[in-house]
Amino acid sequence: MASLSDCFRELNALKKEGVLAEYAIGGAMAMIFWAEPTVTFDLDVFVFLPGEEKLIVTLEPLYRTLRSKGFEPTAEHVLIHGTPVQFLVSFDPLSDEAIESAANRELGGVPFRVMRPEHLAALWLRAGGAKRRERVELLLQANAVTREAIDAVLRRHPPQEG
Amino acid sequence: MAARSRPSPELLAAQRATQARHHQEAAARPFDEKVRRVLELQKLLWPILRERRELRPWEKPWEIDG
Repeated sequence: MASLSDCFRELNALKKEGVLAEYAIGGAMAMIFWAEPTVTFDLDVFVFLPGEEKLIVTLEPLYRTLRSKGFEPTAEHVLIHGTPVQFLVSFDPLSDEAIESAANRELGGVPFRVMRPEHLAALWLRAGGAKRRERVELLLQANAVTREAIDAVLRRHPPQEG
Repeated sequence: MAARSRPSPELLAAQRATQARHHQEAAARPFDEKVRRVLELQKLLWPILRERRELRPWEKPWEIDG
């Protein structure tokens, strides 16, 4: 049976092949790295796509590559070695910084990049919602991050107009 | 209003400290162990969620072993 490290290995391969410029695990699975486990059913992967700066209107080139490897997209997810992955193109300077400054870690000898807790918390607070605030509390309870560190990220990236 | 027994500030503080320690110990477990716990939680929660609402195709326990 596959393991999560197989999925991470595939993400690294996509980066090596130039299909992704960079990636970082975000969402609940990233939180699990820094705090206590909580249930989730998908793996959020924030990405920079390669190429010149332009508006991304489709993930089709990425999906085409994944299809060629036998990973079929279903709605907004792609099942990669048994793990449903949602690819999220970095959407603002805060998510850019979260990807750029992600921590390098290993699972089963496979390296992967995971967002740091202050960025996870800042993204969740910016997005709002009870479930996301609860996750921020779990990070704080685990001493994975301080309110000051979260505030510093939010100050660097004030909400964008429009 | 009825007079009730209340926990002392010391008891409350001790209980909260125990709870905080529990969260911190759970957070400090190795990542591979926490991933296995997530897989267990998925298997526990999935039948309950399925009873409550229509699930999306990807909302099911992952077919991985850690």
